[in-house]
Amino acid sequence: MSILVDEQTRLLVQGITGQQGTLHTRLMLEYGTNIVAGVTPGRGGQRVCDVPVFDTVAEACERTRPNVSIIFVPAMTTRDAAFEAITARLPLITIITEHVPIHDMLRIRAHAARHGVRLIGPNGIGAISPGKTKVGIMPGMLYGQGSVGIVSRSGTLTHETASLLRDRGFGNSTCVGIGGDPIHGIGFVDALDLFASDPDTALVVILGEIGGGDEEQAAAYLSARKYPKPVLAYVAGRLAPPEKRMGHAGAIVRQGTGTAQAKMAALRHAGVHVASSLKELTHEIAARL
Amino acid sequence: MPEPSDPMRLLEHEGKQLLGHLGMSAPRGSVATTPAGAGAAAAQMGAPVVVKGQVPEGGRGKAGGIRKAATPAEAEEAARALIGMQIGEHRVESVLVEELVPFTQECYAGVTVDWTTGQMLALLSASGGIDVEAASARSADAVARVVLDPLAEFQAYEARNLARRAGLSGRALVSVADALVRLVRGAAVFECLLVEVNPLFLLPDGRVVAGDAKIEVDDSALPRQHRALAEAIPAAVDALAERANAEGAQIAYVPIDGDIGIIAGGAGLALATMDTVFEYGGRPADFLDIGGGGASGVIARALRMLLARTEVRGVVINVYGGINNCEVMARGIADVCEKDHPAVPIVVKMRGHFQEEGWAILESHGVPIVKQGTTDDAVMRILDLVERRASA
Repeated sequence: MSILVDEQTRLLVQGITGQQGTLHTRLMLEYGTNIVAGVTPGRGGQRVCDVPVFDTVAEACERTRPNVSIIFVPAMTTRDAAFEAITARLPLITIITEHVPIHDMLRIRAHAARHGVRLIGPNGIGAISPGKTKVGIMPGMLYGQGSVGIVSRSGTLTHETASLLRDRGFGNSTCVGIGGDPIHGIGFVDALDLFASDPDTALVVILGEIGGGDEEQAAAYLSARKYPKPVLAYVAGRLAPPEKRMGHAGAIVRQGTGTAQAKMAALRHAGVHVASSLKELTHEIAARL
Repeated sequence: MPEPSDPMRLLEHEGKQLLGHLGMSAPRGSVATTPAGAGAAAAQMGAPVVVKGQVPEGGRGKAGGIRKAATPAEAEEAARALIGMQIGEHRVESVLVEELVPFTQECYAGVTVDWTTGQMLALLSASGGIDVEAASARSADAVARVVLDPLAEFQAYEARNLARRAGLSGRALVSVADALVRLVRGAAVFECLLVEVNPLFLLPDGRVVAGDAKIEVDDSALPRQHRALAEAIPAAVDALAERANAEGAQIAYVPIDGDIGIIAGGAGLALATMDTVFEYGGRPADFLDIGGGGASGVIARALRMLLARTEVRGVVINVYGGINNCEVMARGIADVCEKDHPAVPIVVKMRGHFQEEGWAILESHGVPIVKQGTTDDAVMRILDLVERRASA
């Protein structure tokens, strides 16, 4: 079944005529994603990789009925693009753009929540259900089909973990990058919830890093219930000098909270096997499949 | 190079300029960069004054960065002690010489992002000053808070409701609520992540005066805010321009004490690479994330920056062609090899979109590549090359 995106996904690309929009439209189409339309104001009537372009999301929805949107527009116009998609009631919106202003993200989150729209990102790789569809910028050839679900704050760590699994003959049900920003859409908990009832997912991997409270929230969620599948995790930054501020904008360690050690302890306490290295993570996943 | 991950924190005097722009009062004061200047300012104002070291750090009082001065001579002496003082990660370069405020009460008013819940909050307390955190820890009621709706304008009556819950009444209620409305609207207009006035002084006549100003501006909003901010805060014109330019630079870089340079695509991978170098007994020289969508120029700039450090004995580059493009990144690396002839070994672990094209470019320049391997493999390779070169 997979989560969030699958063979039923009909994708709208917002910002399709931009450099990133066009490149990744091509790469997603090559992967097999069903891209039904694109939007760039003023370019209605054109085609990009044979995908019809519209001036507005409303028109694109009316004519082609997408059910997911991916946003490649620049940071300063992301809020507008997201609001347009939310107002059109697209059930899932993926924001790839980075450096989206925080006040804009606060507004986007609130608006999405009020309209029952699910949000992925910003500053993330999107989501992929290998063999079914790719809604994002990940190099699809590195991801194999299988039963490992991955939810991650780091896009490139997701590519790394997926490729290590694939090289060993394993694969993924769905991988979703929640992005590196402090104010974002779905988090670890939302993905865990979805993975719990997904028949295609046998095991869940959390890829975290220093900063913020996502891992701690995941630990609290897992502690409050008997989670039906094994959960493993890796938290990057275990050995990073704590007095130096590094990582994503969301990775700032504030007032002593958000250290890798604290996250690892919280997750372990919740019954998660937390690997101390990527090497150990792959080994432990393989041992459980 | 400033860290984009570090939000821009205004100095107190800059923050007070912004508050003034928002219609809030601050004590009379002037900025001095020399002890003599501080003495002159105190004389002009009529001592006693308070001399406050200007650094974007909290806890200045406890660090001895704020001193009362009864005479201009004392003000000069205080400035002499403060200018050049290290407080936290910053050095004091200027002091704010301010009149003393005959307050009847110290309150606390703030607007902040609660990073755990992803919401903005407005906060008020009738017991401000240095003990507000302790008071908040003792009792949940000590600091009244309300979640701000990002889609609605904060109303004056909402501020008055909060002031009531904070235990205020009479003229104090009205003035403090009015101040909070200005802070909330200012935070929204200028896209601040933190606007904190602690203490917010209450005067005998019921007016309020900002005793301090801690303001953090969202870096990612600077492209559209820096001009308006510069107009509101003339003292910060240069700092704002510098920050706005740096925002576009896309490289998050933190140098640390070590000799293995790291360039990674993505913060998580950068941290994981650092962890791996440590695990294999190496000493990373930095955290560096080239971010996404960068041109070949970004990776070339990052590499040159590391190679310019004489203590760096090798560089490991760990990138994926996802949002980035392997061919473009390889061209950036090759450019540095061709033009600069680096003296130290470079190992590139690279996979993803346009990998074949990227690998071909690197191979033609003799750069060792890890194609199908792991971060462990790349780290072992660079440590091996560095060690071999050292014993050669």
